[in-house]
Amino acid sequence: MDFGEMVRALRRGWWMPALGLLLGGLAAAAITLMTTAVYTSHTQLFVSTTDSSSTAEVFQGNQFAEKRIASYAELLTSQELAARVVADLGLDLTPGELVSRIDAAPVSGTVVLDVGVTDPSPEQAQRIARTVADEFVTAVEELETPAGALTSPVKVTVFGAADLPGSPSAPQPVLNLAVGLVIGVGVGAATAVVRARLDRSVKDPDEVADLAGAPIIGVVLRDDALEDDHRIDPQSSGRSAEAYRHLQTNLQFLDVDTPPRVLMVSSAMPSEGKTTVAVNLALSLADAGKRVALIEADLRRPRVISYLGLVDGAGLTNVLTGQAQVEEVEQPYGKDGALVVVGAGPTAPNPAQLLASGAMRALLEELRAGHDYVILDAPPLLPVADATGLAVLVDGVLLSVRHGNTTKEQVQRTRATLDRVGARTIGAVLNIVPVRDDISSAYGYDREYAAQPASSAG
Amino acid sequence: MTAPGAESVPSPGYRLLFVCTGNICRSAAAERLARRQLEALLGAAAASVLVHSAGTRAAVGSAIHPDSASVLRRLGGDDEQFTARRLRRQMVTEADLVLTMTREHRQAVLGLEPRALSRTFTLREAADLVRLLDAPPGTTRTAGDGGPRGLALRMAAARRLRTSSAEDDIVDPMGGPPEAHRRAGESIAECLGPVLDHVVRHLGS
Repeated sequence: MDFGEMVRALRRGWWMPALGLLLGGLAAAAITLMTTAVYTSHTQLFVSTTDSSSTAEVFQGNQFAEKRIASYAELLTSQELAARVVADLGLDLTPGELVSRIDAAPVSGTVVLDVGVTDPSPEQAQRIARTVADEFVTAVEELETPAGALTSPVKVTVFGAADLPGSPSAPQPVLNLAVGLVIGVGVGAATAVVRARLDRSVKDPDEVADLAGAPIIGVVLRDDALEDDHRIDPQSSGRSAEAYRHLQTNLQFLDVDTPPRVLMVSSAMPSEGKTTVAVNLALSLADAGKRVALIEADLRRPRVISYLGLVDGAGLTNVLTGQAQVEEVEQPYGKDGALVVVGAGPTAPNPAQLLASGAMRALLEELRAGHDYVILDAPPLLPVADATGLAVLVDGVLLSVRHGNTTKEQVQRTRATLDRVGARTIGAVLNIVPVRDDISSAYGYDREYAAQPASSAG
Repeated sequence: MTAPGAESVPSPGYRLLFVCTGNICRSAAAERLARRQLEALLGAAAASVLVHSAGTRAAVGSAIHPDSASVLRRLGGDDEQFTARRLRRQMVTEADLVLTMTREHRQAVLGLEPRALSRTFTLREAADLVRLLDAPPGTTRTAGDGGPRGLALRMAAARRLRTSSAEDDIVDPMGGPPEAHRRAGESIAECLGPVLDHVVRHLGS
């Protein structure tokens, strides 16, 4: 995955880092609010040796103190010392609990000990810190005084008296928030990128063209009205009607020397919008003044007749089996009668055989003679073999590819299937593209552009 | 019951066929109501229109369902001497106009004879189509107006002006209360009016 892909993945999944940011912020806020505020009072203790009259002795004393200082840190967090502090102040704590609130560490390379005492109350923290320091001074004196001697050679001085903390040491809202936001954004962005990597569906028109080995001749945006009604009014100024007009126009540009006139609309898998493409392409062509025959060639799951509200029960299978002539079962559609529709007819047990038959070839020749375009709504190519036999009888195959749903492998396999039988893919339609997707603007269906063309100069 | 062969006695008349499931409620009532309305419209000449009915899964040999029969009598029809028949391909082939109760029956008729596509309508669809024939004069004229099937062809040509939907069905009253039979009977009588008007006009032309 290169940088460009990463950027695209983030642009497409922009909401994931945004959501991460929001959740991270909320989590930080929640943690901050749920934590009781505590204050830490600090005090510094200086360790020195007393009987040092020369510089050398001072030096040796310092070395002695540095070695000792680690032990003193232990001493500061000992139960014994804590017990004395609890007794002195009459605290409602066990020595063990107090120990957990004391933090003592030598400042490295020095003879200074830093002691921090944490408590929900700043005054209490200060009081405890002060007492800890006092008790420690006493304790060191007791421990370091050799037997028989009166004074200790080591002296601890409180040189940084316990302060009164002004702001709580925890929680720290700014830090929490910063950490929360950074983690949130990071996790969100990572999810977006990983998701894009795992997503094998096709989204990019150029990629589809590449995989299908045919140009993209139409991009149809998602349209709920179209999904309900299945047909557009070819004369409306709506987005979908416009998209189908484009498709219809592009079709006429394909191969101007031998223009494909008998077209099969198919897809890799079911539910990729091929019937809708077939129906609306036929309507658009008829509206452009072409004589069009639309054939319901998906004999397993026919939809055209019900989409158009025509009469079900007689059609293609009757013609192929010689029970009727095509004129007897074709149904005109629309006011001007430029479009005729042939339904699937009664269910047949052998759709693949019927669609690849000589009768089918003869029927297509007959229809070609009487119409400018013959559009066949075929079954999907991958799950059943029905459409493969039909594909070689037509001038070209138009593939409907569903944005974000059809996978790259499916497009590749479809191409391989068609190549194997020697069928020709004349173009692909990228279907059901989300309106917000960047393709929509790239293909000139930007809603804002359509709404205010004057402002596009800026 | 007459043998199917006996029906093909040469007759210059017009053949009307009603189809439903059992041939004891809807299509039976439609047959008798149509006969009654044609007698009112044509008098003695009504004999030139042959009205039949049949069922896709007929209760062969049965009389009209009692609830439907009482509705039929109230609407002026005659329920005597009726025997339910099963729909056969030949009946469809011979009929000049096939009127079914639902789209499913229309599909069943076409299953027997796909060539009948332009002669087979649901009763409601037919009533709607003849209304369209009245509306813009001349728009749907096609060749073949002269023959007995000209009317059906013109109706089929008008199909492009409407879409078929569940509205085209007259629901089965079988197993329902007498009220359901009444509703079905009244719908049938209502739809028959305009359709038979056109049949009579067509025969006169």
